[in-house]
Amino acid sequence: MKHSSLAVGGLLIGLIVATAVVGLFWMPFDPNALVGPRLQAPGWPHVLGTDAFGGDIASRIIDGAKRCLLIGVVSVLGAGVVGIPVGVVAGMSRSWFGDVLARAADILYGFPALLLAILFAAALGGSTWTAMAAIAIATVPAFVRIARAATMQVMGLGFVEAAQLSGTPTFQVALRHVLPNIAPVLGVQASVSVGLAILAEAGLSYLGLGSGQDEPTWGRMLREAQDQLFNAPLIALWPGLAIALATLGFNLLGDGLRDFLDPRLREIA
Amino acid sequence: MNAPILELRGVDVTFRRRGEVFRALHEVDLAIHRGERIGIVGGSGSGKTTIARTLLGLVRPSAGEVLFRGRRIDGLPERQLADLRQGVSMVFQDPNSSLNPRMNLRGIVGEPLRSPLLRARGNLPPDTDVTVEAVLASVGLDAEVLRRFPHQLSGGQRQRVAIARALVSEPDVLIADEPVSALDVSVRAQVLNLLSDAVSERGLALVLISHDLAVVGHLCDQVVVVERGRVVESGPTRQVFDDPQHPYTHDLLAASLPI
Repeated sequence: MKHSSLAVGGLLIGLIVATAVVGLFWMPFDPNALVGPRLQAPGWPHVLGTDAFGGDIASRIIDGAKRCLLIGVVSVLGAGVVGIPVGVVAGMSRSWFGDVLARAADILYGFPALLLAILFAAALGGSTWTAMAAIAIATVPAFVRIARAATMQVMGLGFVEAAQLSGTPTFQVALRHVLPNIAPVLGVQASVSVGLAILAEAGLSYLGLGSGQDEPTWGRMLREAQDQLFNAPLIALWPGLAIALATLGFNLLGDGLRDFLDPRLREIA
Repeated sequence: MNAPILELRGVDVTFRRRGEVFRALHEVDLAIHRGERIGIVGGSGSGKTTIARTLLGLVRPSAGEVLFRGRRIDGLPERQLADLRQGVSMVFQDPNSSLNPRMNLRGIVGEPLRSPLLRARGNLPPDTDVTVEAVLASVGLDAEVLRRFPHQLSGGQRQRVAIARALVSEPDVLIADEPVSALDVSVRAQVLNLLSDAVSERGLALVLISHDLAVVGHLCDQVVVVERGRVVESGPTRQVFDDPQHPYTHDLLAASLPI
């Protein structure tokens, strides 16, 4: 099917974004209040039931959606803003300097995001911002690597040399020739990275290194659900499902984008 | 004869590959005069393309001199090569890779006109649609292709675009490296004739690099035969082709189809 992954990915993300936007204006219940009996099964008025403290799960999922999106998008944007220029410079450099940048990224790559987050949480206290910073820093090397590899590929093409022979300054070559041609790859990477960032945020929240008590995130909900896993497994299902769908959505979108943005593939399709 | 525009004097080029030194050019002398058409022929790996890259200042010789309008240009940094970049243009072998797929023809052909390096020299045509349309028309493309992208053109049209880009800065020398070998056989003659007309109308010097002796015989009045980085024979095309002196030229001629 033509562009089916783009459609499904877009639909899933659209759903999550819509949920987040709705949550800004309207919420069935206060997500942080104890609004009903504990551990109620899905029904009315608590559509997805209540958790171990009597909070409305649907409201907490809705409230968590915007936080997850925010953390995912902001951390990836931050990583891209740092990682892409570094990768492009490393890819265009023909001297040892490019190799040094690439090795530096590899060293950062070898440093687990979790360790970074624990470090940040210990130094600054766990919060949405420390989680975001830790995820962003951990995502930088992925962007450096992919931007460098894609840049090196583009540098081998004739039009870069043609640009140099046309007297185009190096900065303009990067801006007008390299960046537009590596953009599809970066878009794919960004989309996949947002999915991974949401997953990472869930992991950090699960360990209590993410957002605070009154800021429900899906990872945090998962941890709270774990104590009740045997008598109320559904409580774990909802946030788990939300995380899975969000990650899947961004991955599918990334794949779809790659097919869609490539002008040569578009001709064939 | 007056002084050459572009000249190689005793040029050696060596490449280092995994510690091994590879000598790509050996004491190459070459002089290109205004309006002259020189064909450089030789087998693959003979150093033909390295000669072009050295003429363009892309490869730095380990010995000898490269002169443009009497000035040494080898080893100069890019920002001091404005004269060379304006005065010597290149048409690459494969237009599929030499044209940026994400730029339209206006952007591609107008690129030399936007160069601050070339602008600083002065007397460059203005960077307008009119300039680009005129040069596209001179290679047989309508103004309506201005906003098209390379993948919307045929292979022959793409190479015309590459020629248009090479002509837009009004150079004195055009270097073409196997300009038709990536093209469909049916459009080769068209593109070669176009190249030939463009060069004679403007009085440009042409350096045509080719392994195809028929192409060189058709277009060039001078020929230089290169074997393993050395110039083994050179002279007027007719003379060299009719009465080759070097055994390598013999072999090349024998291996090519009758002209």
